[in-house]
Amino acid sequence: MQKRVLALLLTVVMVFSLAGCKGKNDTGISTEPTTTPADSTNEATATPTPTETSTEPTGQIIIGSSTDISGEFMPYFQNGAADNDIFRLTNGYATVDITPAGEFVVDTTVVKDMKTTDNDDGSKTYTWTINNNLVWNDGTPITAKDYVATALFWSSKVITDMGADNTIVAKYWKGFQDYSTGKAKEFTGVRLLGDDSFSVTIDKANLPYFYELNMASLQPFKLSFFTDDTVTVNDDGKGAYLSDNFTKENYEAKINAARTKVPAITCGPYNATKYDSSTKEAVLEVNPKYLGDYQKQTAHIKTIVYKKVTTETSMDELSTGSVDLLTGMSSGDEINAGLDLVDKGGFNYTAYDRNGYGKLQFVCDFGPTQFVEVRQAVAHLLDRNDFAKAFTGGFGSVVNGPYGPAMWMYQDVKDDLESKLDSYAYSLDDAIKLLEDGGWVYDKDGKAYSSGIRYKKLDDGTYMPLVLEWASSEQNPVSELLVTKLQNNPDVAAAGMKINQTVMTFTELLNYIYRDGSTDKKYAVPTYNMFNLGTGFTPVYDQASAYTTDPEQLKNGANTNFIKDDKLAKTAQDMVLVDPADKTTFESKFEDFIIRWNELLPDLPLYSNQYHDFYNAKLQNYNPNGIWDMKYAILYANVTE
Amino acid sequence: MLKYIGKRVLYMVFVFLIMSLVMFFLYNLIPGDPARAQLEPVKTTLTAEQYQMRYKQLRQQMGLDDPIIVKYSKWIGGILHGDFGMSTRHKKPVIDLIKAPMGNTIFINIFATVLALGISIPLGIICAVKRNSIMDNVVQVLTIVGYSLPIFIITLISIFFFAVNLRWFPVSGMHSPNFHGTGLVAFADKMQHLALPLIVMTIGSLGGMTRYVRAAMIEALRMDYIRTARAKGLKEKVVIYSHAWRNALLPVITLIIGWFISIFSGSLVIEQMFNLNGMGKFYMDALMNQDYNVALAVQMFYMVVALIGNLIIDLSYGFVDPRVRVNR
Repeated sequence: MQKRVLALLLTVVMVFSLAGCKGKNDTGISTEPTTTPADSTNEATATPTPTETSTEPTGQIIIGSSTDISGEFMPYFQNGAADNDIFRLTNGYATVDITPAGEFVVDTTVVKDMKTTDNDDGSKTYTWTINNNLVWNDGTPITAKDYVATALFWSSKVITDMGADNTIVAKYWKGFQDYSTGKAKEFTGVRLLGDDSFSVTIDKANLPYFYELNMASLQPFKLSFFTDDTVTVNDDGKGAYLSDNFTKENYEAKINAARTKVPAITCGPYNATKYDSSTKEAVLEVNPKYLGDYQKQTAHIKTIVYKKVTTETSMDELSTGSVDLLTGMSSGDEINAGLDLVDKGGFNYTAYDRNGYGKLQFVCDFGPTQFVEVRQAVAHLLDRNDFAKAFTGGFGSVVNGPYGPAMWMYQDVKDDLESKLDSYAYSLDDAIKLLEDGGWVYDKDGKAYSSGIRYKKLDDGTYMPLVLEWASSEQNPVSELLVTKLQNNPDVAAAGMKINQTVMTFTELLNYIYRDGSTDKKYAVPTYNMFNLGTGFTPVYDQASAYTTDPEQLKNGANTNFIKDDKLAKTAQDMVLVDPADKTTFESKFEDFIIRWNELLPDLPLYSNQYHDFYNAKLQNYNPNGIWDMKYAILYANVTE
Repeated sequence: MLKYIGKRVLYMVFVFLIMSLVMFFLYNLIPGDPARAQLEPVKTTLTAEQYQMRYKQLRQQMGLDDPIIVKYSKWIGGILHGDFGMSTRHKKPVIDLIKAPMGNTIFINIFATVLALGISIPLGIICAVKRNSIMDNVVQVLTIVGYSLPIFIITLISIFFFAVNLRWFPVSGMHSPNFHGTGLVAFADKMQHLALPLIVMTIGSLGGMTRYVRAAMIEALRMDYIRTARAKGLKEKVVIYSHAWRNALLPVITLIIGWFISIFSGSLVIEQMFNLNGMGKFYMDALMNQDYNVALAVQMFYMVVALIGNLIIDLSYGFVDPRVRVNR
């Protein structure tokens, strides 16, 4: 009898031990009360192991989305977050896929062969040969024409004339400019080479490029679903083109109808089977014809329901079973409510670092913030660790450069990089020293500074006061916390600095950031020295435009910090002008860029949240991260009813 | 009567045209450049030359370079043909976007209006008849509380008690996720989801309406003809419902028609909190996203409803009170 009890106890211990073995991320379990913030997720980007594929997909999961679902799941006309999730879930077979670490890989489920050719004119051609077992959800075969059709259709002038963005698919390819504006019939950068083969040529202006594999990627598109069988994809040797009958007059109505038609002809892991415009609910059913992602992973959850939720009641929806999964919870209140739910039992969570941060963005070409010492002094006058803790409720951290903790390159160089970065620890003395070194040593009469606001003598002999004009958006909790922790901090006054806050709508704030004088002339006049807002990074980490000194790009408003530092611009450019295979050089140049940025501090990162996805315990093997979010991770998950 | 209606319709057309002109000019005064806004997400990927070319192209497509009067003529001409323009946000015809929220709002508000009137009119009459009784005092206190509490608070409390704690109703939505039933089953599912918002909407409007009906009835019951009717020995029911209520109805009618107009407008708070895709939220989203074609179309629709509502009010006065002549 004692042996039996012992055996039972051992079994129970084993079961609990297994349950305690967390996945790649910090996954909460309902049996384990959690009151402290979940640990950081350094392992979050590990490659997931494909789940067993022999079983039939089962179960249903209801995903609560805080953004509207419009019913238009192609991202070219309009692109909401929820619509984009559904686009990813219902479309597939791109030649290049992405790993959880954010690295681009050739999808061998799709691609039989890939060849690259360096052309004499400096361009580079990727020739793709696809497998012949790919089919649309209606059972018809997917051919090279379907891939070429994507580039031709979504880069065409016809869809631009209808209001769509035609730069999403192929803007870096040779001949794009002429084709997309209707000047040329053929798209020289795209070739149809056979039933299973096509090529794309990246223009020399965009090479070399570290992310060029992603740049050369294409995914198929059912042209006849948006037009009809009479529109054909052709190639006479000068480049691919669509037949002459593809005009706005002929197909505008058909295209507009197809944009929201459900079900549609797609080839992703799921088929959209229902969209209810009156309730904004979408239903996706597993696509049995889908062969899998780059790891041959197919869906295990039979039905996904996408439902709109409001922030105020989203946790109530989860607790009452109206939804099964809430993603990207970031505020302390939401997370604590979610963790309480987990404690009660029946619910789990996965925590992961946001691939971005909230920041104070400085304007670097006028006023006191044009001087690096002032920007650095502001950094020393804000206790960012305390700020991050207060704002995120403990579910976040501080970064010292333009990176997200989940980025693979950051993970690789983390120790070395962090040792070279200045964390700008809170220090009034350091702030004062920086200001004195920067020449802020006068009072308003030009005498040696003793108290009040500091002044700096400019080259023209005038004195500039150390008064920072700060624009913040209304009803923004970050702004409110900044008032307490920075603007009203007595040490700011002690340092001889004054910060004035102006509250405005977010749209107006953006107008000031972009200096968009077309809206109103006042926006074109530099008025504010700093703004608070958030930023996020995509897997294509290219900061060249953001810190460019090219006058043309500056005129278009690319560099919103208006920082004209040649070294920063060069490090940002150099980072991506690297051969895709040369990961080591990329990482080294990534470090150079971050170090220069940290020195110049065009932005002051305030907090990087830790996101929490809360879900019903029936959802298993769900491991998203800051780059590889729900729309990827759900493919590896399953439901146990 | 027909002549009067004809005159009023002509007057309505005139007012509509004047107001449409004013509204159109006002919306066009709002600072903003829709063409530039549309290019905002792609501007970093374009060269200055490409940007300018696209910008010009968009301005031409959107008719932004036309003189304002030409723009108005095109817009009003479109409206008269049922074309309310394109949504800049959704890149779709406004008329297609408006159908779903409008249908939802009308459906919900008809129920809410009937419920609120069905409760507040009898309650107001009873309170007026039994003025200063315990019941009247209790209703007075409750209606003041109901009148004073913001609808947002009532909504949150209702969700907490009835949806989260008691689980009688769903937290939000208009039907069960992935619902497949039809006919009566579908209707029952919809009503189960709409029950809580309807209760909240009814509670929210009971206070004001009940007090208004009560006041109108008290005023009517004070009249000499009521005393005369009672002196004639008429039954109390006849005195109240035939004599007093009919006279009290006149001021109440204005309020009822006001509600009729609100059937089309929806409530932003209720729709937001219960996740109902209705006109309140639709209109607010359009304004927030500077989708002015949508906002203007909704505004014009409300104007038409208001004009029709006013005509109905005037006609109703004639039906309720023969002393009011509406045929001039």
